[in-house]
Amino acid sequence: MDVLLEAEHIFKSFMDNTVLNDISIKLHSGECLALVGENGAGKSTLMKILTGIYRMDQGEIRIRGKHADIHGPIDAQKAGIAIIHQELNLIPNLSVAQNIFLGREQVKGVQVDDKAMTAETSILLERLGIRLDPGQQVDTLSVAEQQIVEIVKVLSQNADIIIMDEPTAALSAEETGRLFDIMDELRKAGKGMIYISHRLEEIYRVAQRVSVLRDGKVITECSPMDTPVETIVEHMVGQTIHDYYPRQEHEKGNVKFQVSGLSDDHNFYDVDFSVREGEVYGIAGLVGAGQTSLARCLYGLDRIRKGTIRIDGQEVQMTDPGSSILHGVGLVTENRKEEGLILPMKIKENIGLSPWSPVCSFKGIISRTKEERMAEDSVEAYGIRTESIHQEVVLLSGGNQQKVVLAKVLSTSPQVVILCEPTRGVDVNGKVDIYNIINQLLEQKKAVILISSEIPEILGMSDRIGIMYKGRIVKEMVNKDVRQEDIMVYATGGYAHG
Amino acid sequence: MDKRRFWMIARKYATFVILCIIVIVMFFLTDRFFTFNNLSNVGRQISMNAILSVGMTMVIISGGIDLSVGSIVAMSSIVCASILTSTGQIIPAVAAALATGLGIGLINGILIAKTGIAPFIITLSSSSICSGMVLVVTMARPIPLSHDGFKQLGQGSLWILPYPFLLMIIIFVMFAALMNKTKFGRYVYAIGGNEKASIVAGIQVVRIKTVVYSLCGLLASLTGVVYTARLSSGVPSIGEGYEMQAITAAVIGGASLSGGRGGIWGTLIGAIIIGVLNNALNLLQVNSYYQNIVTGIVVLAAVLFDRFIQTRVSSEG
Repeated sequence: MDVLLEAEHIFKSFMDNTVLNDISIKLHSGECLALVGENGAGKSTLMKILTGIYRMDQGEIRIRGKHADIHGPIDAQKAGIAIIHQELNLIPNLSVAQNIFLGREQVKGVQVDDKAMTAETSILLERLGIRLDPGQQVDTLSVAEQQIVEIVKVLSQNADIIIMDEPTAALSAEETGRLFDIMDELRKAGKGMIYISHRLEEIYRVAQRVSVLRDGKVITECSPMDTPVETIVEHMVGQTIHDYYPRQEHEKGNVKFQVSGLSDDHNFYDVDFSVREGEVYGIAGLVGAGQTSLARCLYGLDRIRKGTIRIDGQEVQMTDPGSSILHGVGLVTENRKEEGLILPMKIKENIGLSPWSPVCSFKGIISRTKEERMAEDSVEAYGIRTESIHQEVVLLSGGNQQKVVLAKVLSTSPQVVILCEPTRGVDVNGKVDIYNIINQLLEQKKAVILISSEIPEILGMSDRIGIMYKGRIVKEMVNKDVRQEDIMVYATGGYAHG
Repeated sequence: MDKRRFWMIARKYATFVILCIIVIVMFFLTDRFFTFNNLSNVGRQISMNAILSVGMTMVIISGGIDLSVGSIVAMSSIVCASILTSTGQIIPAVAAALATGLGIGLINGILIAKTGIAPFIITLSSSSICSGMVLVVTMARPIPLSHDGFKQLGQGSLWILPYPFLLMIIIFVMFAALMNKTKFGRYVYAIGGNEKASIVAGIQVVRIKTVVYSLCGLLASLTGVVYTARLSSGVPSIGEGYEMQAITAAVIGGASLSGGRGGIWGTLIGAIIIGVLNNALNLLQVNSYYQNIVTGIVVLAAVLFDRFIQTRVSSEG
């Protein structure tokens, strides 16, 4: 087998943070290399270097044995490297053929020659054994078909090295199967593929080799044929540091929040769990396993189709965020800039934003004293580091922004607090502050639901853990002597191979 | 850090400083600017655009735009004039005119908030429908009025203060309080700043937006009533292009068309700048065709200056 791509001794750091620490990978023609690792292991940074989005600090990239300078996306394209992202980059109102030839349209005089492009697309599709109409508008295709168009597009640009970043995240099982069949075809045609996925069972289907990344290093390289899933998971996780989590034991009270048979018929199914006062129920799972949709439904942002939600044993309907706040439920959304904060507003205005926060002394009229006292108290209680409560939140660091979101949610005194990825994009000190806020909540006998794709966080803070995979809680366990590996096996669907 | 604070203060008072400069320059260029007659005239002119701009400012802060206000001015002028002609009574005429504006604003608001169609499109259509209806009903002919009491509303004054100017002050105080002191005002800013986050916070976004457009319509019809009184007739062609003047005042005053930023007092200064500038050019006997050019340059300068400061404020944080 010819060597298509060699990346050797690659280093990359951002500020003082070393993200890639002497990484080397090799890709042969007719091969699919799987790249696995936890969030932050360095996979996406490496891919961004290969596709010219980042510049490496040190190292060499060779294509078919020849040194290649990749300084920008155009260089990568010339070198025959293409990437297919999880988010698609197609123009929805153009046809399949028009998308494939976007930016390098064939012309007849000054006219765009749609006929020629359609004809050429047909040939391409036929060669790959794909049945798609080149004239069809892209937004009428399914996600899987769009993904295929994306693949055909990079193939038509003569890419030999195709990187796929979580391509199956939005696909059904059947569509995933079709994608894998096409990948097999591409391998037979001598193309090389780098496949990134959190779903380990897929790797056993498509990859001939696996590279496990951790902390910016290649930990091991193996063949999936003779490596059990547990071994891969162990390599991914490595050693864990426990004292990073200041978890305190709190006495548990009555069952506060209970859901049974919950389903939205699309993103999650038959979800059952309960949380007691003073307890953290952790929901682990990979990105896209249905946790976000579940949280949105529990808070009334989306509607459930089946199942019941009980608070203190009473069945309640969550019709909109207002009703859930009145029922004593608070939600910290996973994306603070999109759904948590009003960026141009001041800290005090963000904290007192909710219609139910007690900042009015007279109906509808904001009392400056009350608003400022509440903001000052929150800054003190949650350790928000800022010059003043009059500062615009856009100027705060990620961790402090997140604390403002927490302060806003807690200002309505919820009894059940749902936290979605509460420490995403937050530095280590900020994380510890946020875990301490969780401890405060437990002391106040609140019930906490912690949704996180970071397994150490789930292990560090939860009393009980539910693991979601493809929309279902596939395993529930008491957090005692649980190892990361145990969770990872369920979260990746690996138990099916176990 | 101190530099940043300087720029933040500069941003806050920039328009006010510009207004002062214009006034001082006028003081030296002509002795006709600081006369009682001229100032009272400017006051009357400004007040109408200013009242209209208050509603527009709220809409812009909420992240929208209202292109129908000019047509609402015309329609309420016609409604007011025709009812006054037939009944001879001021109160029903004014009430009907205000109800017209409120109603159109309400329809705009409901359509925008419930369907999620761009405010630009919705209000462009309603603007076209309203101005068309006005022309159909009046056959483009003005409705002259001879009601002295009503005329006073536009032309009279209390001591040295023209009534429209007084009305403007009352409207500004009321709406500045509404926007700065109440939860409603806070939500308007929040929705313009980040609609998704507002929904998550439990804010009734649909209701707030509907109210915002309704109030904008109401203020537009109030402007229409004042115009009618001032001209002492209902004029179908009135209000053409007024929406652009209102947007201009709001933008000079610091409102951002992407929502979340702006203020009622800034808009007042914006409206005064436009009025004083036009008056100044008239007094200096500059051809009135130049006025548009100058207004355009002022808007551009205001926006560029704001962008300049924005980069200073955020990059040195």
